[in-house]
Amino acid sequence: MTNHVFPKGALEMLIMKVLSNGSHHGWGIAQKIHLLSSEALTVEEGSLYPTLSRMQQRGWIKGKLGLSENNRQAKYYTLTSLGKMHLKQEQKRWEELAAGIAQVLKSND
Amino acid sequence: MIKTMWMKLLDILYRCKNWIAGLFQPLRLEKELEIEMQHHLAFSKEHYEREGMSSNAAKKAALKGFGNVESLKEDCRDSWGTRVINDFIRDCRYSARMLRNSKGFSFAVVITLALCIGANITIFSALYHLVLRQLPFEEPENLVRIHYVNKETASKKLNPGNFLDGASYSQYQDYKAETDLFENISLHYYLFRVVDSSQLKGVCATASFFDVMRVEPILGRFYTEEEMYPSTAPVVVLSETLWRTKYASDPDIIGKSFQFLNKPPLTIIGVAPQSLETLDRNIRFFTPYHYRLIEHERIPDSAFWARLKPGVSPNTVSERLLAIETHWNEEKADTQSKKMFERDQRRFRMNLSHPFENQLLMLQFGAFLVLLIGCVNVTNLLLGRAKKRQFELSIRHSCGASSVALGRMMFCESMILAFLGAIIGTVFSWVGLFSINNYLTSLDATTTAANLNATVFVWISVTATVISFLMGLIPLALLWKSGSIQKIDNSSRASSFGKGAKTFSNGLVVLQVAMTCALLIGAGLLFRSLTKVSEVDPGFDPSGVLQARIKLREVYEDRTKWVGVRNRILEVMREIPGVESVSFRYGTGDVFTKYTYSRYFAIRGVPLEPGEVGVRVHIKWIDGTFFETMGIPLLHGRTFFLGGDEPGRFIVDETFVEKYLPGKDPLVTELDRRSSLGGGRNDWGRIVGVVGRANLEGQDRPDGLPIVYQNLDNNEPLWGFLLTIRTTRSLDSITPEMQSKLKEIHPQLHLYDPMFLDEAYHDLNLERRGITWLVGLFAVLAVLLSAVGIYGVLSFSVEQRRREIGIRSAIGASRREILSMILVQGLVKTGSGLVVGIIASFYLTRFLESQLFNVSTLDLGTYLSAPVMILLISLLASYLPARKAVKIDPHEALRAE
Repeated sequence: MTNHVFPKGALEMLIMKVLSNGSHHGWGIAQKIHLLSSEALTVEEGSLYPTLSRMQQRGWIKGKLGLSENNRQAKYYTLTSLGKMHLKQEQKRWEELAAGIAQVLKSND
Repeated sequence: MIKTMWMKLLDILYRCKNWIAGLFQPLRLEKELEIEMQHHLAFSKEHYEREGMSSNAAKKAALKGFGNVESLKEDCRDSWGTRVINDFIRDCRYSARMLRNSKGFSFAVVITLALCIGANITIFSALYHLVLRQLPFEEPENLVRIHYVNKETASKKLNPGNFLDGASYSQYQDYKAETDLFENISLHYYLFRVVDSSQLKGVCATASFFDVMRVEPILGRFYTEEEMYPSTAPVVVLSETLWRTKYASDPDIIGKSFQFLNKPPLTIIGVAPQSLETLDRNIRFFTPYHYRLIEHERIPDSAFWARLKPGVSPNTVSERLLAIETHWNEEKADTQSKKMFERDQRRFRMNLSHPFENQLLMLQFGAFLVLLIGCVNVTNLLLGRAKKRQFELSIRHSCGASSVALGRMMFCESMILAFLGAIIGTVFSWVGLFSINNYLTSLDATTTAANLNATVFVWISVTATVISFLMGLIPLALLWKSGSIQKIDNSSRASSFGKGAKTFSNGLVVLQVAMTCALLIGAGLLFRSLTKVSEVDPGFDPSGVLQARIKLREVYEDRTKWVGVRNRILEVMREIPGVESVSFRYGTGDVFTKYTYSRYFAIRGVPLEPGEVGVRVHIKWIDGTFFETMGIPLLHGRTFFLGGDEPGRFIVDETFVEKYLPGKDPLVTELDRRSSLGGGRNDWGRIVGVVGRANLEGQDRPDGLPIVYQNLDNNEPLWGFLLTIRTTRSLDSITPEMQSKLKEIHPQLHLYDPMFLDEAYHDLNLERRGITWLVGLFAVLAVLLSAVGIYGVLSFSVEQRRREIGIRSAIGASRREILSMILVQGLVKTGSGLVVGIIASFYLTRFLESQLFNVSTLDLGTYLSAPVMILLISLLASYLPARKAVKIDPHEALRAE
């Protein structure tokens, strides 16, 4: 299990992707990323929150207080329609980037 | 592409919305953040516990995995965008508390700023109102007033309306044809008429006047070109103020009749807007300029108002008009006019500027200097204070406050001080404007009161903010540069302040002293002028002399009655108890006229210089009792006989005798009045008396010309005259009696503008006195501020050098040596400031020249006494810190770190 350094903007994209399948609280998001990546990616837990805050300011996600599994108060985040648009855009860009990098690596020049 | 832009827009909108929401609910975001972080930690802890860790170990692991809670919270707060404001509010609260704790310092700073800002606001408001403000007409930059000046009047600074020369209708027609220069041009003059026993001032103008100004009537209409012909029914347009005050804004005023005393009634056809009254505050009516059969007749004091075509410069206009005049004189004028044209060298002058412009600019400069000095003081004070807080600042820095954060804190403090100072300064200026308005309106009846207005407030706020920046950040910048904040240095007092800061601080003081010196020298010169002016011997005794105007023309149409009525008036005036002497003279203006009537005389037996027409003198027409009433001493011969003298008799003053008849007997000299063109009537008359020199033009305008007096009493009908009375009674007690005596002769006779001459004489100086006192006030302020500045810098320096002084006194320096060390420090600063100030004064006093009287700009006395005064005061200011230095106990100084 290696910890990769997250490139800029990737964290936001991953958060949005996680939230596109349902709303979660902060811990839940971190856990989900860890699981979905087959444990390849580990998010430094604390750094999640400033990012979440930023995304909230820009209207990509919406947060609401609610009761969590262990009967404590937690903030649950959902993806907004604006966030969905951004997710699509970022996803597309990432895929183009990855394809481009892979292509260069594959070439034999 | 559009989608990207749309998303960007939404991005911005959301951020704004959330930012604003955050402003209003700062606590909610905090609370939620705390909740979710705590939840995360608890969840994490439980996760680790499930994996088998103990409660404590799980807690630690959770925290470790999470990261630095506080730091992360800060990052979140950053994203909210409200951090800046919250920090700012917090800084302000802290600053306010700090300032409250050092009341003395705060008070000194606020008061200094308040005085300086207040002075500046006052003068600037007056300046703005009188000079910089635009006329309330459309495109005022294209409006000009064109008037004539001739050789005599060209060099004098005369108020509009004080010209002898005028323009004629034919000139107006010629100029009107210059359509590439003027969009519109009009001819006008001011006139006075009596309406219902009060005298009103009005404008007599061509119909184009209203087009030049581009104004619309409030009510009714303006008159037209046709109504300028004498055959049409006479009409009048009222000014807004007259309509409001006399007719209570009567909406049915149109068509009513308006009548000047003893003239046929006029029909009111309209009311003009108040904006026209900015040309002259006393305008009450407008009448059509009457087309004159004699087209070339020049009406005295008439002038043109014109609207230039955009892009046309006044110089072009001036040249073109002069060319027209020259051409006309060569082609069409008769020889008489031609000669007059050459003699007078008429030129055109165009202006909209206000007579006080120069004085106000000068005052503004002085006020600005005072502001600078005040700011310098405050900066130095803050510098000292910053140094004291160096320790605190360095602790803050090490705790993570960036230079920006520190800067913000200092800025907060100085901002509170600056704005407090600005607010109090505004209050001061309100008081100041009040007194200035009283002074201004008594100087020039055409001005309206100046007020604080919105523009001024904007400027004040901008200035206050700029001041806060400078005051707050300069000391911090200096400390930062010296590196004393970056390291926590408890023995900070021993370390040097940093060379840059010290030089800066000293430089400021030197600058302060220099500016004060310049101001003080300026004030000194002005005061000396004032003294010299008041020392001028008027040559007559103005106290107890009452003067009033009487106009017969309006009451008696029959000229033949005028002499009889005049004599009767003089008779009844003599009967009033308390009246010592009664006389009259020609003129309906003031005794002290701003313009001159000069004439030429040839003297029998005295040869003239080649090219000279005669000797130039002033002429006054008086009666026999004039000298007695005015208190002018009779030196030789006799005065005129009352009730008529032989024709051709002159009385001259001693200046005439000194200048033109030295060593001769004046009483046998004959004079002949010459016209300025060289011809004379060869009507030689004789001098019968010599009187003392009287300064009838005012103290500071002696042009050295002698006065020749001629007799008015020779049964010449005068349409009006100046009644002059010597009396011991007061104005209030005698005027009603005089009025009632007049009414006994004819119910419509009226005494206009009665006043005592000494008041008028005194008032001649009003302008000069006002300016002198104001500049003096600035100078005093500057001296006080500089003294405070020197005291501050020196006592700060003593504080800094505590240790050094302690050591010195420990190794044997005497009290006197320490004292003199500090004093010398102060004197050196003062001295260098004085040198700079004196040199600056050499150049700057040039601007004062127009205000000075009989005092040179390099007057030795002032240039010596001003610096000496400053030196003494700074000695005193240096003495106090020096004493403190002497009192330093070496043991304590060395112990205290």
